[in-house]
Amino acid sequence: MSSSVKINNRKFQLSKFIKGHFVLESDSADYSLSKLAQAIQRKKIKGIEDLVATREQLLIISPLKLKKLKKSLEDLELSHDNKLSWEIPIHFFEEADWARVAEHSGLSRKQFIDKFLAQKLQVEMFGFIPGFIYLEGLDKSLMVPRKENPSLNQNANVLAIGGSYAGIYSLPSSAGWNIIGQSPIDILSLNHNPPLPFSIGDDIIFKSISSKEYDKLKNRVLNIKTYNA
Amino acid sequence: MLKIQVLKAGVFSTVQDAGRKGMMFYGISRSGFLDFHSAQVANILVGNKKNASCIEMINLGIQLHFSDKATIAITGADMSPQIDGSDISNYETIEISAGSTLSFKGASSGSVVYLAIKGKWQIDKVLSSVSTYTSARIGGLTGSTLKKDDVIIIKESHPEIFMKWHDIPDFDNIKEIKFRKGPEWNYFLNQKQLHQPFSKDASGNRMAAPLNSDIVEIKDDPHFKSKPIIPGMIQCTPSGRLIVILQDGQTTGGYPRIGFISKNQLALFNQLRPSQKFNLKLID
Repeated sequence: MSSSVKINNRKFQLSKFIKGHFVLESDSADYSLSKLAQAIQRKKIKGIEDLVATREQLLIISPLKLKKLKKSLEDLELSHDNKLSWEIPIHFFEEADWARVAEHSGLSRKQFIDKFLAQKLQVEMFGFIPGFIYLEGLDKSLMVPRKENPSLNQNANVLAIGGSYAGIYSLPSSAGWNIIGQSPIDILSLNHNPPLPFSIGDDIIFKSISSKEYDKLKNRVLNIKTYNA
Repeated sequence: MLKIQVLKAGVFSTVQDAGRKGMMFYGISRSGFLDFHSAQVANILVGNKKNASCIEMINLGIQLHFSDKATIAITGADMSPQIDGSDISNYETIEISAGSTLSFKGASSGSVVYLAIKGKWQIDKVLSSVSTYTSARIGGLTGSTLKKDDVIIIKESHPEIFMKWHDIPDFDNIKEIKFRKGPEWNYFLNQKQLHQPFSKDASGNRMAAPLNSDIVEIKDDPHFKSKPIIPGMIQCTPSGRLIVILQDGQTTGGYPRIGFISKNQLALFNQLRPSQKFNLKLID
């Protein structure tokens, strides 16, 4: 079962995948399904229970019939979101994966950090594990391939490079990306809804801090919203 | 007020309910009962709402001390439950007197036990559920498995109820798990390879269950991009090993999704013991 759906003058293909689960695919490869998912998530549409966005597919968990879901989606009025800009302080600690970074980018720790700080990255996607944030816009010279065997990352709010992406591990987990720094500010708030403050498309600017500044900020127990206020 | 204190921790005992909805967009899995059917029966037997909190124990049970009298029911796997050293039965309402100790052993049939306790559990919900989700350190008492000296507080509720459940599943007799074709079914190159015995690997957890079998042939696709995954999805690794995604699983994954196990069949699958052989049966 499959049907063509028009949302904001854009064409999508909606198909039933298994009972209670639908997949939405865009005709154009550069369209952000995460942005659309975020709009649906915020409208809290009755009958749409969960959304999982990837680059090529948006999974919609819903007990609705295909026809009814199609109508709910076509009735969506997507407003133009104001893009916000966030600063995240990062301590680029020396024990990070700098050897791997140097091996693949040819840059020293200092060279890499200088180049990295000049970048403005955008929030592209969330997920796969709780509060993971994919950031796009990384310069080619800063790309470092993912590790073949993930290592255990025991820290929260960790900045890492994985191929053409930068990313943030909001929580400790097994990590296949190359870790380059850590923020003293909590990014994920699991007692809040939404648990992440960023919107898809927001700009992220990083600021380098020393270990002393890291400790100072850590003691102030800020979250990313209060830090940027 | 009833206080239940953990005297001995099991292997992986957690507080679960039907799970949390609406947070997968942020990478937060639904979690919840591995075997919703057994959990609901346990709750019905004590007169709680069917999706109320239960203690879920995997492979090895815990030991609990009850400060006051309580009404309980145990369902799912057989972990030889005892009250103060005397055997008690699964699948019926049981009255416990004040000061008793409830203990469990290793599972001999099935893998997952549910303990329902009548009353209102005093546990704060996180994102609309009490389900313990250790990857995010949320749910339950502290976001982790139950530990020695943890205390669950339950406020009593009435009226009393006594029931016996007669439709008791025989987990030793699960011979096949039914599944449907997944979105990348055509990556699976040799369908005959499905006709071989599978078993769950002992390394499985609430996130995923890797299967043991002869290696299956899978189409090589280095450009395959991450896709949404949900509990019950059967993924195949490039080296030809099948993995079933479970309740605490990742929300996206980079392996082809060759099959899907429905909610009912997944409840049975989760009761299989690691050594237990079963067949995968394709249904349309």
